[in-house]
Amino acid sequence: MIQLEQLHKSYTVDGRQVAALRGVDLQVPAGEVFGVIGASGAGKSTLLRVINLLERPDSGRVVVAGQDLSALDGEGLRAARQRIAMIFQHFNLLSSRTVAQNVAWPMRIAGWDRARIAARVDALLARVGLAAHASKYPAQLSGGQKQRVGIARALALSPQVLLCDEATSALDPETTRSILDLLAELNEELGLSIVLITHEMDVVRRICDRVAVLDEGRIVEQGPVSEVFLHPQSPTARRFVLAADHVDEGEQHDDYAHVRGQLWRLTFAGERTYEPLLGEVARQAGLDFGILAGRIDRIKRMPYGQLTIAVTGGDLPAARQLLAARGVQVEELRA
Amino acid sequence: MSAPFLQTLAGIDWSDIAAAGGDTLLMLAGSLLFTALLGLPLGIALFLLDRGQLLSSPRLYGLLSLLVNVLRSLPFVILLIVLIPFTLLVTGTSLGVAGAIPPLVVGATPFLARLVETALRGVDRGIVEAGLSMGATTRQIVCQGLLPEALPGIVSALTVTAITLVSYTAMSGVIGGGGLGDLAIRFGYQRFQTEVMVVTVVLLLVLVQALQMLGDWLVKRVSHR
Repeated sequence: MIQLEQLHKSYTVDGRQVAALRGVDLQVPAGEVFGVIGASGAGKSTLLRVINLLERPDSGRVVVAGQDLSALDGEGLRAARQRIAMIFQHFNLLSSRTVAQNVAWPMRIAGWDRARIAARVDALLARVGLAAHASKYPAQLSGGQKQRVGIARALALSPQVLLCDEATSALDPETTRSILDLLAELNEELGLSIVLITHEMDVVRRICDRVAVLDEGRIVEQGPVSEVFLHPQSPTARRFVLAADHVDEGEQHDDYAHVRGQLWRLTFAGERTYEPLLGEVARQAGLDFGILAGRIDRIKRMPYGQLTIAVTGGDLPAARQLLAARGVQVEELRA
Repeated sequence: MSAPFLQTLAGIDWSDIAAAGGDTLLMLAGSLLFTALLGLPLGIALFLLDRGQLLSSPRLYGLLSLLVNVLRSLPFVILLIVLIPFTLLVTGTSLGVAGAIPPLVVGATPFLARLVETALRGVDRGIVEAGLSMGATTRQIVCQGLLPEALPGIVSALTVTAITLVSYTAMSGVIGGGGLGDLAIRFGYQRFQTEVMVVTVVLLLVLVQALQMLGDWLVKRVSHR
């Protein structure tokens, strides 16, 4: 659905050239939720805005739904943008207009007639759960409700792609969850392709199918979320995963220095997650173990678990084999 | 109230004052109308042409900005006199209400334009971005996004401009513009009728106060923040 090829973009700040994107290649298949994670200043905001050409790249190609956007004239680009909707961190709603009028804006821009707009606004507000708030002004809404207005407005012209610019960064955790759930539903119901940028791994873990890690204008790692989240390769990706688990690597290293035995990290996913694997294996191999750290959670809808254990007595090679046979990945962190 | 004071008030020619008050209101209404018609588009142009905005053109912006600054730096009294030939050309007279309106408009338009520019700058940049992302044209972003969002600021700008015009109308008495200011100068100052001066000043004060209250009320009505 989206193809970005060799994108370069730099800005002049105080007379100095600052590169925001340095050769980014990216493909987002139709119907996928694609996350771009990066620290502030990594270039993710520029990357997102290049997709609808709010930022023009210095070089490279932007192809959305088979259309090369950089080749379009003003009129063509405006038409293309009506199929690429966007929601924002600070919602960007018109404070002078009611909720219904805000949702109607893209349809007014597209030149729809009144009756058609009114009917569509009602349907959209009902879909995002704001039917009762149509005549309120944005200032009377909570942050989560404002983002729902933003989402309703974005859906107005039935876009193929939804770009989310840190859409939940200004919201509390509970509201973040409800907004992400809504986005996931829309992705399934409408087959809407979603690109979202964030600095929180939890957002990626919750709804993304695939993720790209952006660092200093380059994609340093990308793949299915389960891959990147459970086995991060790049230092940047590892940092985000650890931050999501609230782990301080240095502190952890000091703590583990006092622990006896080998350190293993076990990773398991799918329905197995909830089975008593470790107990069985420990009994069969005569293993003694202590759990140092662990997390049982979900990546999108897939349950997974990751445990760091210290193993002491017993038949270690046999234990490894037994674990592997049950689909558990074993990584030796310390021999 | 003391008897001498009442006697003094009785000695004033109230029909003169009523006529002058009417002239002031006419000058104010006429000049405010034309100032708004010219100043709003000029303010919008200044905003859009500035660097980084939708029609970014540093050159054109510099030119317009210079024009505005030149007109704003001229003292209004000087502008009144300099513009006499222009006024004659436009209205056929340089006297009375009709003669006063062109210099008032020329004096107040750049002032209003700057205030409108500032009001538009106060609108969250995200509104422009949202509009662009929906495929809006510049005109649609201005008319459907920026202007509604800046409306409270624009109403304040018009209020301040109206009040400035009141004080300008008083000055236009210098070139025979008529109105309360003219009356104050001719009778109050040149003929030493202090009571006329006092009454005109009080009336001007009431006018300014009324304009400010009206403006504040309107701002409250159009503001939904």
